[in-house]
Amino acid sequence: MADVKENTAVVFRCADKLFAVEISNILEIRAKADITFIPCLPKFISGVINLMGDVIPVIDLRKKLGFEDTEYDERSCFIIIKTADDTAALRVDRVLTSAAYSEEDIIRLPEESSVMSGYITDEEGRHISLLEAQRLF
Amino acid sequence: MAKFEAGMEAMLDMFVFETTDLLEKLDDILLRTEAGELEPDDIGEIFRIMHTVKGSAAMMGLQNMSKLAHALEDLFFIIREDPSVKYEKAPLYELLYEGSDCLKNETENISDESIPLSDFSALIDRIHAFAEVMKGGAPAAAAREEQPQEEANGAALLFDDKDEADVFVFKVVYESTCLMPEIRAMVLLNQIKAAAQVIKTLPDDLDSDDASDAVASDGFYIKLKTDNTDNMLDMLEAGINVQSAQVVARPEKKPAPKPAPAPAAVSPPPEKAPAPAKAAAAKKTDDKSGGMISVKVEKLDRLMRLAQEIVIAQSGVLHSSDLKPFKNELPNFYKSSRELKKLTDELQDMVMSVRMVPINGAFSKMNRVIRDMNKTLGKNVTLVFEGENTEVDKSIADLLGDPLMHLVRNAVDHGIEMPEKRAAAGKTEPAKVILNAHYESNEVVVTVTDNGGGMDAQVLLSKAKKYGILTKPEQEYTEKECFELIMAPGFSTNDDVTEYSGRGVGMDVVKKNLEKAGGKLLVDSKLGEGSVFTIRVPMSLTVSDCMGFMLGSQEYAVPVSELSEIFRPLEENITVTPEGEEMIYLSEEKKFCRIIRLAEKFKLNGCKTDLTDGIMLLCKNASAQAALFADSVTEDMQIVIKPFSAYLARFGLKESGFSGTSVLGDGSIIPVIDANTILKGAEVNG
Repeated sequence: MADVKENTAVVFRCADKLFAVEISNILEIRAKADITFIPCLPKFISGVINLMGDVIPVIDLRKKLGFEDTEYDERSCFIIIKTADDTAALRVDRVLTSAAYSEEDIIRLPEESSVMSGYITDEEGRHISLLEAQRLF
Repeated sequence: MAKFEAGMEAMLDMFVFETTDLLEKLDDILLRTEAGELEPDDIGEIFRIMHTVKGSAAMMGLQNMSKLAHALEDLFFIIREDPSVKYEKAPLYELLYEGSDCLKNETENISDESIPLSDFSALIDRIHAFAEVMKGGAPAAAAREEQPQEEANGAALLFDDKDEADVFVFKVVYESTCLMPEIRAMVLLNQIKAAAQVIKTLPDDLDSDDASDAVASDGFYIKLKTDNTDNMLDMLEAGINVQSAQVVARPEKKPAPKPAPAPAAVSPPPEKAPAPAKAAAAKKTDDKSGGMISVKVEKLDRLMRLAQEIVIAQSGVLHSSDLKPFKNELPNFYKSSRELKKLTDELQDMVMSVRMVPINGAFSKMNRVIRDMNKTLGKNVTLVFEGENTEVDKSIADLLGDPLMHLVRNAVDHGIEMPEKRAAAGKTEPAKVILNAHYESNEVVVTVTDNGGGMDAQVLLSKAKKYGILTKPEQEYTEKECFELIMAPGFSTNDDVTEYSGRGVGMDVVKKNLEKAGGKLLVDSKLGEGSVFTIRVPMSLTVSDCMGFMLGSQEYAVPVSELSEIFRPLEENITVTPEGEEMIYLSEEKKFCRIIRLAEKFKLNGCKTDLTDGIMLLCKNASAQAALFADSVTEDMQIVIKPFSAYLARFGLKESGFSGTSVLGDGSIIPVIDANTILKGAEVNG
């Protein structure tokens, strides 16, 4: 049997770059949501949405990562991320696919200061930045 | 190794809940009847409570609890059988209270494996001794042991000539060490019922008092309809404590059973006395609870979310853009949808109200605290409730339990003086502790007031100095700050540490726990007249009355409790100070008031800038007043304010003047401002 890929991540695009989040941190993916603006918050929090009666923040990934701020189109999605302490919706350009990988496939960053833990590479040889859900908060 | 029977984990929650509930009921009865008359109804009820506790403890394999409950049950058996039996009431109540406490503690600690099972044998012996004394006065009461045990060939009675071939009788024998085999049998029977059609059992009433002996000595017979006897046997043998299970052979021929004696032999005639007593007890419970059931709070939470989701889904359907082209062609659809909306609105209201409980539950537990303390301290304190029907969310009611207990204990122990001292001080009114609950803006306020000696600020100060817990020079302390010292860690005002109040560790812990839940603990006192402790907790899940207003294109809400007036400003009343500060003249109060432009405060664009174009929300608190400028007001709404999540709270929203958000009926979210914080901010700036 070939090597078993024990992890799965959802791959998405944000400002022409590929990112992925481990699937166990994802509650659901929503195509649309009514965002309510809350004043006095940092720019990368677009507002809040109602998730089953819970009010959760929407983190605009482009702004969070400092990419160019363009209008989102109808393909943009909200990935609902849940960690032990928090839940938030991550706004991304579009969700592409899922990728299986194992721990050895991750080319890790040396320190743990970044929101990403490392790269994984897909079949086409593209780098996908693996985001650490906890560090998004 | 858990303390209770293996395989019973699933029942643990239920057991703890039920037993706690029963013991609370027992305390209620005891408190109610201690001074007055013990009615036959109450005796029956206490008997029933102990009987149930005994049974469920045995089912959990908790022999110590079961035996203790059994001993108490026996006491009431004697009293119930012979109402004229003579006994001393005070020691009886002491035994009952002690027993109730022991059982309560044991139940509380059941999941904690580090605490060993308690040994109740000393108490049980005392109860038995008391029972003996009672029996001495009424030998007739021993009748219990002499019940008829005629079970010649019970199994034969289960067979009937008309039985079809797939009807079998099984005999289950329990291990001789098994305590309360009838409870095991009942559990087993319930399992079997799920798998096969049970026709009859012997003994047929497992609830009856002698079922235990019958099952233990003769075994438990089940007559059922099945096509797979092996399967049934496996199931029966798998039962807890089952020694053996077998199919009873059908007798070749037997005389037709006489219709009348058959049931009589199966279950001995019920004793005369208990029957009405039991019925009365049952009726009484019904009266009180009106057919109540207990539901797990998680289920209620889930239900509330579902109700909200339904409302959201409904608005998605009713306002679907697909419907637009047919807007005028669907009269029936819109009629039905109005009906649906009415129903979902009602559903939501109902679900909200289900979570609300009167604070009475938390209050009435204090009765027992006062009673015990009166006994030991001899202070003769009366407990008075005010506003005990104030409804609070279940979670808040639970949260208040511990702080209340501490405050009441402190009030009686430290606050109320000994009777001689009261007399010497010329205090004629009886010692009192008053528990009061009411709403104030969007908080629940609970006060514990005593009419005791009050606190001496100077004494507190010198004590605090002695303990070295002063944080600033002595003379800078105001009276209020002196009182607050008693909530500092490591402070005690009573030199004699008693079993109730300890060393003053309580108060700082109480304060901290309340603060963790977003609450506050305040103290005030008057030397010689008493002290007041005030707990303020946010209503969190409770509904508050808010006024909606617009800023730009978005709606916000402000609690009505923080609003004192809404008005449209007149040009001639607006003044700008040389410093550029905008003021408005309030003609009624004949004074100026600062204007705070909310749009500027929240750094919003696209809002009205001309003051005469918008609306003023006049807000007031104890120390400040300001007119908040908004575009317009929308409507009055009843909403549930939710605090921000931990993540959002990190961005200082509270300091910016927001108390949280609220999810409206249609699923949309509205930010709620906190006028008090905004006023405070204005104070600092000014």
